[in-house]
Amino acid sequence: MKHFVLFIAVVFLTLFLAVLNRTDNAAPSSSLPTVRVFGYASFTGRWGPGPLLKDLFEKTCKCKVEFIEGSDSGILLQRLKIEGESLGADVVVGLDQFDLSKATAEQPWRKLSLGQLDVYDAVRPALANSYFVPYDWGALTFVARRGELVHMPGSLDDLLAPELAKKIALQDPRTSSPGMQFLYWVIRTKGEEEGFRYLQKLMSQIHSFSPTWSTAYGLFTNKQTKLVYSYVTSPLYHETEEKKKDYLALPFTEALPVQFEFVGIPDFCRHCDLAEQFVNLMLSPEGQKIIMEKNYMFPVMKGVMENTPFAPLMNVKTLQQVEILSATEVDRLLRRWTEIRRGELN
Amino acid sequence: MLRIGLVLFLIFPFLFLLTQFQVTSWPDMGELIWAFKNSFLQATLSAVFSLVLGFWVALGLLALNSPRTRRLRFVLEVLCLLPNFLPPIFILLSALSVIDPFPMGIAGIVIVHSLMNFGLAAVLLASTIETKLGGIIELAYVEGSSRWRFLRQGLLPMLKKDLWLLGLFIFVICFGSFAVPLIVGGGRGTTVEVLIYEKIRLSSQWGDAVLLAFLQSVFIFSLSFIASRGKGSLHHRPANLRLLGSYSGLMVIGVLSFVYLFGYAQGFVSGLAMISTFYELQSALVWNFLGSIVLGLSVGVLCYGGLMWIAYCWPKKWFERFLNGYVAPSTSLACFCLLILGPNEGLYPFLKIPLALTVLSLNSLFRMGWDSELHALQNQMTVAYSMGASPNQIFREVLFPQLSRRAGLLAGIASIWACGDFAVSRILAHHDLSIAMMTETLMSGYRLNQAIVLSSLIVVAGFICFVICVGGSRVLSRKFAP
Amino acid sequence: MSLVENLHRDYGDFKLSINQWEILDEGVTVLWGPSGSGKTSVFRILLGLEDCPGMKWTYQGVDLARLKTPDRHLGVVFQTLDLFPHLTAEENMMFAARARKVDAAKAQARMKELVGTLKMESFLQRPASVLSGGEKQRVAISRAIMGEPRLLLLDEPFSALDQELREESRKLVKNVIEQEKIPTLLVTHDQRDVEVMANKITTIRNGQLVEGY
Repeated sequence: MKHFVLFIAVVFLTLFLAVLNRTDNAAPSSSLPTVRVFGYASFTGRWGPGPLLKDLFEKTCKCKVEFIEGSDSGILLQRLKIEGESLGADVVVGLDQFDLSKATAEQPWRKLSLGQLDVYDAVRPALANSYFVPYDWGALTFVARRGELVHMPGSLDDLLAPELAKKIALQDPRTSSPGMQFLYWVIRTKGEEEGFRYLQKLMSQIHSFSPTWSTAYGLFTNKQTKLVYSYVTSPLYHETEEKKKDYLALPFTEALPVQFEFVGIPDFCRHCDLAEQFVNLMLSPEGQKIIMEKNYMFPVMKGVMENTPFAPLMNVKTLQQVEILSATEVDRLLRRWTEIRRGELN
Repeated sequence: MLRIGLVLFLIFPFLFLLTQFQVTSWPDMGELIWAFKNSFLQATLSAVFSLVLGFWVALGLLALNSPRTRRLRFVLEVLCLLPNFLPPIFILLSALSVIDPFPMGIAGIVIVHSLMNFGLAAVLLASTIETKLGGIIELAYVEGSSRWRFLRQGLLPMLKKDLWLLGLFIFVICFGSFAVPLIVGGGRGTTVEVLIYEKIRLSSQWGDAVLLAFLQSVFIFSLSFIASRGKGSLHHRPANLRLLGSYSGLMVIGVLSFVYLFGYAQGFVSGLAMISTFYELQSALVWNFLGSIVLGLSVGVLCYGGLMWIAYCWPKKWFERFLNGYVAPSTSLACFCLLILGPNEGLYPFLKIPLALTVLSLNSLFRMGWDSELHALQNQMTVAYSMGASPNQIFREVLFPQLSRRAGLLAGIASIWACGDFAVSRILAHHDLSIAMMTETLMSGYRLNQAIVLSSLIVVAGFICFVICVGGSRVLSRKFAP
Repeated sequence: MSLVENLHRDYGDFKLSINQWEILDEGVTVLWGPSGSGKTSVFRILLGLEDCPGMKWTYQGVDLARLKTPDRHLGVVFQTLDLFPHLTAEENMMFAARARKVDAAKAQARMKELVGTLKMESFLQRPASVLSGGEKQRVAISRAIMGEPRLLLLDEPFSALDQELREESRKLVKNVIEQEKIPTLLVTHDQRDVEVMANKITTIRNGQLVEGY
């Protein structure tokens, strides 16, 4: 009996220590300070820009970088609110413009002094905030497969074509940030009343509202739908990584909404100077290049994208304002959206 | 005391969060009723259809109850249970690509839920029929009863209570479902679980979210009063079940497995074409695979302990009532509760994730047959108690040796669930700890097919954990036998 | 003589009402009655498995009704026998001795005695799950006796056996009860049990004790 218990205990302990030890590799060694970067999984994960930025930063900073993952920006903010200082985050990465007002309301942030930044014009409106700085951006539009549609839609109204009935994959604005972007886009383009009337008509065209971008995109790549709401850079992923040229980001006559991803430093940062250096690195040409290539998003700083396959994609008309909606305003819009959504079968 | 301890352990997310957050306002009644109506409707229909399909499939499994066909039956049971363990998105994608056009709305939710739960219902029903009614089925067969007549007048009335309970079990699973109603539910996709998530994610109204979860639990608790465990003697003598066994049930397994496996296999093949992306990740794969196993085994061990804890506290009327009616708090609430409690670095995720998964799955395990197992031993407990045996002696000498294998089996199932979990781990862990989390990370960055390939490792890790749990429990029952 | 008083219980569709009932201090008292007469309910109440407020059960100056089931120090055999199937016949018996904290040497000696009287040598080391009906029954009786109970309570203990075995079993049990001098309450519907075993007969019908049978 004793042998058995001992055997199980040893196996279990070894496994446990092994797995734990592996995390220790990334953890601080001895006296070096550790900068803790809090971000969502696809940024900090192995396929994201996080690990490369970490390597780059650690070469010069005489410090260690440690990532803390949250599932998405909504959950990220909740954790920040709940855990606060005990989370020990020095840098928070991945908030979008819909998160900012909530983030500032719930949490004191450190003012960033980054000087004059040479950013693209489309990014300039996003710099108005002194607590957060955008590190990448993407215009959102519909993505289709080449040759699948007789008429590629070129405007919001084209989405109502019979050919697209139940063939559009969208995200639920209550659970997904691109979903919210679409709602915002329609309302800003058409005005609130007209926008909601349009959404009412659009409901019968929608295959489904997925809880996350990845689910909607999965439905599309699995050929369940002919269109998906995604980024203008999405086709580039398939071209680069899968060598497939089947996908196409559709140009729209309406100016496209832009999603900015922001980085900020919470007021309770422990290594605030290093945190600021990390932000600077994210905005440096090397950092921007990594972010662009791994996130498949546009860099905010000029001089990185030129002569890359990304450059031509940026030539789309985008909404000029970057509006930071208050939480109550977001709540109100979602309530109206939910009203319309009710009673719809698809 | 121990009973109260267990009850507190199970409801502590509610209690703790209620002390942390104030309920700011009574939720919007219109919205709440709408969400409840949707949850109720989809969960009821899902439970009914899962039961009907499950019953049919159970008849198929019963057709294979001879020693010769045991292996085949095992394979079919695994096929039945697989959709319960794979990430729902894979089942969903597969169903959507096979059933075209796919009916959105309630019908869609019911189809996907039935696909996910029919097998569980079938496996549980088949074992209930075998152990409870084997003798009666033989008798009816000998007396020349027709199958239909026996089903209508014998089997169904006798299984009524078990069917209620199993139905309630599936109802509870579907009631708390999140992604499926949102994707295929159309306008009716707003369920209570979605409201809870929305309250947390968008409006940070924690108090309201806790209140919603609490209302949901009270609702299901009151439902549980209409279902109580059916009585019947348990016996393990293999019976001749020719009267009931039906090969058409096997056909149903074939069809349903095709529906959920087809798209999965397709994705797997296209994912394999990109297998080279995994080469640079070999070490991460190995570590995360080990991570999955550590998490799976920890949950297995904790659930084994939890089940034994329940057994130790058995029997007590109110305690049984509580376990029958209790519903685990919503995933996000349980996780956030643990997030607030104590630090979240280093060792802690490895403690907190298994703890959260145990709180979330212990009750399901109880409903999956632990209760009937305890009922079957109740007479022995009564005799031992009357003879003056202490609770310790009853547990050590009567219960533990007889329950260990079953507890191991259920703990094994929980460990498979744990291997497939990413929702809980994503909130509680600071980085990818397991294959399931890695799969989810892959999906959130365009790489769906690679994620499908990777998910096959979840099945492997789950299988390893399952085997260890089952094997370990057998060894324990042998070694601890008085 | 032990005296049961005020055993009243209302089950809704059925009422138990016993004002006074004497159970012998020696030998076998039989509670006889047809199915549904309330025998098993009385049995469970005496064991303390069901509540019966107001009941008094005086045995050698102690009110057993005030004690919890284990403290009543009773030996019991149910109709279903309920052996622990994973334990051997011997382990089943020793379980009871350990439960009552009977000294190990004493328990061994007692077991030896019982094994002889009830002819259990041949299956002592076999798991209970594989024993025949008659063997199980003997193990159940000796298990009940091993804990040195004040009183032995038997609920239809022979009903699961075939005719021949039953006859043999009755004799064996009667024999062991006499040898061990344990007062016994036997609950049964079988008149043959009454004929062979009873020193005193009480009849129960519709929840009430009646004269004769």
